[in-house]
Amino acid sequence: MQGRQAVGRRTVEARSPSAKKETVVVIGVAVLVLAAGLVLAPGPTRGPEALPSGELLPYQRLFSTLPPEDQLRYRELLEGVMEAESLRAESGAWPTVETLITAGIPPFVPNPILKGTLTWAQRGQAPVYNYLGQPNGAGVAWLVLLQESGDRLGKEVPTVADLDEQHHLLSNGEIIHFSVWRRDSAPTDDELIILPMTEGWTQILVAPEGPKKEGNT
Amino acid sequence: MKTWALLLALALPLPAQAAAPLKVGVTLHPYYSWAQNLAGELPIEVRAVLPGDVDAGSYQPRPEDIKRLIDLDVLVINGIGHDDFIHDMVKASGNTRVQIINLNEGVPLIGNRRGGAVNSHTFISFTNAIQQTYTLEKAIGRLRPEWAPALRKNASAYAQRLRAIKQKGTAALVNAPETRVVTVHDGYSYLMQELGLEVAAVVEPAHGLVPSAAELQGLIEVLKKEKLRHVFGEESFPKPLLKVLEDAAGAKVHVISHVATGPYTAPKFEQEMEHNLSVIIQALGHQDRP
Repeated sequence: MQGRQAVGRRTVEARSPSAKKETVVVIGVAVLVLAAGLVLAPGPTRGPEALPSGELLPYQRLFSTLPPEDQLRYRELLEGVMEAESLRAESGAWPTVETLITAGIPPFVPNPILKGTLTWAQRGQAPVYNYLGQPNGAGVAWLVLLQESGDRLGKEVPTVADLDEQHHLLSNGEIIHFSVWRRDSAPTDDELIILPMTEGWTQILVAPEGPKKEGNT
Repeated sequence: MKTWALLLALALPLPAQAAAPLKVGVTLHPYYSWAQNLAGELPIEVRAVLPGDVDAGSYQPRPEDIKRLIDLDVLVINGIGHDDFIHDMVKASGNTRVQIINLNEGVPLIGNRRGGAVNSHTFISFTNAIQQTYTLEKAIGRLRPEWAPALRKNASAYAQRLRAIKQKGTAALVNAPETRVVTVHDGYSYLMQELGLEVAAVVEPAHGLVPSAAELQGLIEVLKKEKLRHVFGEESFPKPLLKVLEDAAGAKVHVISHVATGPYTAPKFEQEMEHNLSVIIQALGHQDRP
């Protein structure tokens, strides 16, 4: 007991800092916090304030940062993919580009106000499919990558919050992994694209990936 | 005899479950049109929560409107700023089983011209209308799987009609000599983008706020400097202010619809959007301008 006291006890006098020193410490801490804030603050590519927070990977870009023409192309792609997914749910096969053009579905049917036209091709085999839009001449290429997950939702009625922008629920209960990619020029070969990020493609996201929202909306 | 008949009736399987209408509430006029067109002949009762003559932007919840929420099965909302009041109304109604469908979940949102939050007027758009009708189709199809084929057919037919209207606009405006326009508020960015037009300036400093004299003067200078000649306004916007823009900046004012007030009808969205297109084409789609 005595030995422990002799080894462990040490007396330290605690003094409050002077007002001057305290001010210097407070200002120093404030400067450090401000500097850290400037370093860690979201950059201009993060998009509008109301978008949920989250992280972007080096090959990802937010929809909100695209030029208007690319925003419109992306919006039309979402519309077209919804139609393709409905046909896929009905028939069990992804519709051909010809089928989508015949049905008048954008972006497979050219929009006259968009500069530059794309030639679309569908290719792939289960579980990966591409809809690839190649620019006719110089211009931006677009890719829709669809992956059949083999998952189905259970008997419980799901809520929209169960899914996110990269997981679409077909009307037959199947869940499809979905992503849209943009490239400043056409790809150089005709191979099925499975890992676009390794071939110079940039994934376009509506919102950064983040924790799912609560609630049934 | 009457007692036996009553007992027999009670013992029979109830067809009411299959025939019971699905009660779908909506907060905005376009959603009413979309839901009605999706419903078609199916037993879906589409119910507007707000009175028709009130714009959601200036709406204050009333007890009689809260009553409309009590027995809803589904509630279709904007969810990004146009109907924030609805959550408190649902809570007040005591309806804890209502399935809320946020039509803007997953919709690519354009930023407001004045920065800050996203533009919540996603409903003034053909592309969004189609996308959100399909979102609603899938959501209701999950609740009533036996209706899924009919819902799909109705959604597809509606989408085709909306595309046909939009295509008239894009075809007429493809060579429009002027593509930069002014709008009274920031509600038309989605539609203008679909037509290849740019909203170069907005009259209202914020949605529903009338500009001050200084703000109006600033806008006049912008119109003159950037040679913006077309202002798209609405019936409800104070006409004297628009006349100032006409007189001082030489702008032409054209009246389009926000699809936000009036009777709730199935064809309202198509009719008013078609009207909007014809006004825009009339203003911009001709080459014979100076």
